[in-house]
Amino acid sequence: MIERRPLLTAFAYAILILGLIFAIGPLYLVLCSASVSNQQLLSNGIALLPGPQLIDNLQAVARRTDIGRQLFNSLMVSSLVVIGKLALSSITAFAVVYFRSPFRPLIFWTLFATLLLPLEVRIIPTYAVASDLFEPLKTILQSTGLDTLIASVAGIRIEPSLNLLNTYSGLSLPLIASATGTFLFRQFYQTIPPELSEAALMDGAGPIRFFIDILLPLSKTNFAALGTIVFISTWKDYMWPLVVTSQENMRTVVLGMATFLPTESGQWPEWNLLMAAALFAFIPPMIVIALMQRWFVKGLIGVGK
Amino acid sequence: MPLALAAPQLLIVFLFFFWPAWKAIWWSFHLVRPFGNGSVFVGAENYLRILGDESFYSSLQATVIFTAGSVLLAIFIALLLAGCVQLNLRGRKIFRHFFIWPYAVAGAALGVMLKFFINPVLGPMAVVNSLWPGLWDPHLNGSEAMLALIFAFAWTQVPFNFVVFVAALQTVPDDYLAAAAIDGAGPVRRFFDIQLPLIAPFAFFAAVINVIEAFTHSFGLVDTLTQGGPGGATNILVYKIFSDGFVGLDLSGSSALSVIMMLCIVVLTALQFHFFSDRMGYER
Repeated sequence: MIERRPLLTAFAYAILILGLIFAIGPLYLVLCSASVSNQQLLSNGIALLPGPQLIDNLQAVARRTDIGRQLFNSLMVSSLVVIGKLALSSITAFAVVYFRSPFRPLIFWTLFATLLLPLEVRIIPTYAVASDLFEPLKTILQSTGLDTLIASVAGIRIEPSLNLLNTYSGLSLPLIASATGTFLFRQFYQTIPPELSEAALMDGAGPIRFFIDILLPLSKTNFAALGTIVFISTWKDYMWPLVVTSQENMRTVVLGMATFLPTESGQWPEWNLLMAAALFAFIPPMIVIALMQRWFVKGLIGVGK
Repeated sequence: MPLALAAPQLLIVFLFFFWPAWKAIWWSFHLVRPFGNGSVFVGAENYLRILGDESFYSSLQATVIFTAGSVLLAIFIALLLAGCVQLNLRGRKIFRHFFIWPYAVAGAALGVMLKFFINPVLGPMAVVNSLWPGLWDPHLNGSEAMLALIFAFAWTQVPFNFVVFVAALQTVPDDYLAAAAIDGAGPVRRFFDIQLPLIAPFAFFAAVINVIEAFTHSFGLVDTLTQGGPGGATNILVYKIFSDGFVGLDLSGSSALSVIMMLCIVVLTALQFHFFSDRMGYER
């Protein structure tokens, strides 16, 4: 940067090229192995050059599993989570920043607590809630004795039950609460000069009007950054779809690809098809990264994930 | 009004975060029959059972080795790459572009890919095995499986660390570097004496995020690559919670494990938030 040092430059290039091999070498090998026949893999080992069979293999995967449906499911769930997360985070941040209220600390600490409870540590009880959304309500009614009270007064027993397993809402709802997203918007709203809201108030705009007409257009870059990250991380999610879907037609593409692995019966997997299935799982988010690079980097730093 | 606006998010948090967490704590103090009614309060018995179980300690050990190994590796590689990119060489934009591509690969997808790559007969390691038969077989050798897991997880974490470090290096004022250069400090010296100390807080931040990820998001990778095996060598906590609960149907034991892990996450998040509030200007 400041002086010329040919030796250091050469060394740095060597490191960078090694880094390049490290980063995209595995992806290249997957592409190669997805484009040859299984016979060739079994006799020659891993393929180092692309072969002619890529399209055939992709079609073979599409014949074995409903890859179109899986891609659609992934797209659907990721989009729902993006929309839900952006909406909930921006509205909650708006409520926290622009209203004086005794509930502010409550809202803040409630959201903060979610950071302490990743899905992985509460996976089984969360599954229980998803299998019956009203289970918490029922338990509270029962333990407080309210249900017998209602039953004796109104003469009916409250037995609501809503099963979210194998539904899009079940796949996306538990993922749309976001503390980091809310904090991101909160921090952004705090940088907006208060004169803006005062001027809007003077012109007769109510809070909702101010939010929709002034705050939302200003938050465009935040929406793009957070949305990109959320889309990719939801697409990559594996544990929740694994738990919450049992029907094949609700599987996401990452989950569907993992089930392409043969189960423990000593079957020899068709490696070329497995690699072709892996392509389906990582090419779409990769396109998002390549196209939305600026937002992706901004979001990654802002959200920290 | 503010409560009404925040209500949808709070409701979701209650339903899918607080209630399940409360349930896990409740289960951890009861003996629960799987997915049926009827449970008996047993106090700390579940915890004592876990703490007296050999497999808990081997799982804990595997978790520590896995986390420390992959996080250190991911930080080191990302720091090296970010340092080189920051030298303003030609073509650095292309490198910067490709280094973040691995972020697109889900842990579960990587597990499937690696299943092939680490295959002792077909993968690149087949060469090693043809020279020294039996040297590489992660299906039988626990530490080799762990090694594969550590490399794989580090690979998934490098893009994030790289982005953080590149951003961090840009916060180092050029004047400092120019002054040091005039004083005769070369690029390597400048990196270790000026840039590295100044970005140390960012490295700490990245490390804490990596550790939390290794504790939680490593599930997909482990489930597709090793399933905790061979012989429980890679049965890290997050996988043990899942397999004890869903496969072994031991809800009480699995919940007690969850509670122990929650405590770890509390400590880690406290560290992370300490950093956030200092560095990113988040007030409490």
